[in-house]
Amino acid sequence: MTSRSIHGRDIADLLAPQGARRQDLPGFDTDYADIVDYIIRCTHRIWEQKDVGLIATHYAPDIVVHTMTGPVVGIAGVIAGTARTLSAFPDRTLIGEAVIWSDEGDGAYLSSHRITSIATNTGQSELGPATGRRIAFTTIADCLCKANLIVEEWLVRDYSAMALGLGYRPRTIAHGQAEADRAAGPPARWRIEAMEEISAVSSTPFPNGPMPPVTQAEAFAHGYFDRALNHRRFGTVRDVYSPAARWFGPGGRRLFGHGEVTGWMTALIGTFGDLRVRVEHVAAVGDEIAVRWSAAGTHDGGALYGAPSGRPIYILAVTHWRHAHGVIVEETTIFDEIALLRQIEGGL
Amino acid sequence: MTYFHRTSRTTTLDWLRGRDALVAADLADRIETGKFAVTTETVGCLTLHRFRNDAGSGWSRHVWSRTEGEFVVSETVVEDGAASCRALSHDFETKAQRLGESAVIHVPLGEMRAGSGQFAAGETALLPPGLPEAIRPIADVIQRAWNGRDFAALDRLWAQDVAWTGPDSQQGNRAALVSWIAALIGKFDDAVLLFEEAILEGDRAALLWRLHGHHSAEAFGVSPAGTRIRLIGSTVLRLLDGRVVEDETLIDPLAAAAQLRVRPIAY
Repeated sequence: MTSRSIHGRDIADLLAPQGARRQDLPGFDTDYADIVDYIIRCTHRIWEQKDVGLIATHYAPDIVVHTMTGPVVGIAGVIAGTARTLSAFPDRTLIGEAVIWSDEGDGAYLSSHRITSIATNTGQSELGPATGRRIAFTTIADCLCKANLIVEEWLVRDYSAMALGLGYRPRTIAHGQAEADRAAGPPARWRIEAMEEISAVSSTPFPNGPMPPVTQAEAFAHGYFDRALNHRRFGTVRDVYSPAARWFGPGGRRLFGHGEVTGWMTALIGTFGDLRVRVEHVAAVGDEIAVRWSAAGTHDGGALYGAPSGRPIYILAVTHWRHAHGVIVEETTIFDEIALLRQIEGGL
Repeated sequence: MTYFHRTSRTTTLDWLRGRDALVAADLADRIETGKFAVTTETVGCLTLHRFRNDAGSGWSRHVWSRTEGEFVVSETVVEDGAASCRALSHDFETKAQRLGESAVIHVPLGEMRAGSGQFAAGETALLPPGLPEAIRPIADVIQRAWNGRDFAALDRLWAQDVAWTGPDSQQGNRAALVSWIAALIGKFDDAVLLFEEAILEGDRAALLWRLHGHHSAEAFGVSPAGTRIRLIGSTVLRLLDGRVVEDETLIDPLAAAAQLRVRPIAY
């Protein structure tokens, strides 16, 4: 028994009654046929049907939601955050673009759910006053699910694309948030610990051998991030991406081909010269791979985010790849650039 | 073909996501183009749309689709924005300015000839894996003509009297095609053509490609400022006895002009 992919299926099919269970889901509600069904259907119920209270039956009471602005602990915070977002964007639709999952054993599953949201900003949001604009932005939610409950979540949202769509400057928002952070007290302990954990990971020997094939997702993901980013072998892009690869990233950036994808990697290291990257989780289904990664470094270059500040930064990101003919043909990488700028401005 | 809830549409300047957004865009398009007769022709996953009014003026649109089953999951659309402006009585410069201001254009990243440096303009096209190998002779000629600036390479496959149709409804033979390529590259002197998709079906061949370059000479009424321009191009060919006898090549001049009129967004 296994889960049925969203490949080739419209939302009408995905949300229709799914019949008998297709996957071993101990402790899950009987109307969920598999982990993909669970993720798509409960997202629709909570967000689109506004049954926010279902968070109580779908999230563990002691849930930890990891974000680039810090962990949110407990369902009260999840419910409050959901209600705040819905009041700012009441017509938000959540278009599931991918559900890439892995079996974590003992009845648990990790789902990496990529969502395009279309939403009209009719209320005050965490980014500013209502603008009346309709925007599109990408979110990836990595959810560890067990017995009908999301027990831990890693949430990355393209806040800079939201800000730009609403007509705001990301840095202006980040500057205000950073001022508030500094007024509130010393730097956040969670962020310092996260950066220390990443920096403590030992360097690997210089990678000289061939890359694992993309079909070996776990080895490929670890090998690629270590080689291309930690060892600065940006030329790896030529080996593992299609010359016609499409790349989607923070701020709604759209890049194409080896030159621009390499340019992103170069600019990232050109901005954070000592950046260290740690791959935290890999999931793969069919031709899709999800990689959650984190990074720590120093803002010592001006390639992406203005004049160097010398401040330490932490990144939590998720990358989704689609591959064909042995190479990556499409990538979506999401992290919260406003949270990054907030750190650069001296916040968190 | 039907849209998915998650279907997306890429144009040179825009990225529409979700069925609702595409349906809304299609409705707006239908209202705007309703007075025009539309003919369509399909070559593999490419649909050619030709809009014509009673006076015979009009424009072309190429729609490349990727499908999953009976659904379209993504589209790439290339349209002759200059000809459509003329046919719809829109002021080209005003529309280009408005389009540019509404687009989110980031600072450019990376080079256009990654890792190939001085060898980027070689004899052999860099084709994405999975493209039909039989497209290679055509792609290699395009590679030599566009990236190698060796326009005589077209003589190998393009008939001298090829019926060429280009952007802004330009028409002519091989010499006209060469003049157009040379003029375009002359405005973006480091321009690189990158192949994305290809089709071979019967006597037709089609290629989807990108053209990236930096603005180096007066173009579309704008003085050169080094702005990186990123265009999507689409070429559909008819072959007879191994020679190209028809060539319809599209880029969107309106999207090009729009990019030259705006600065990248400030973070």
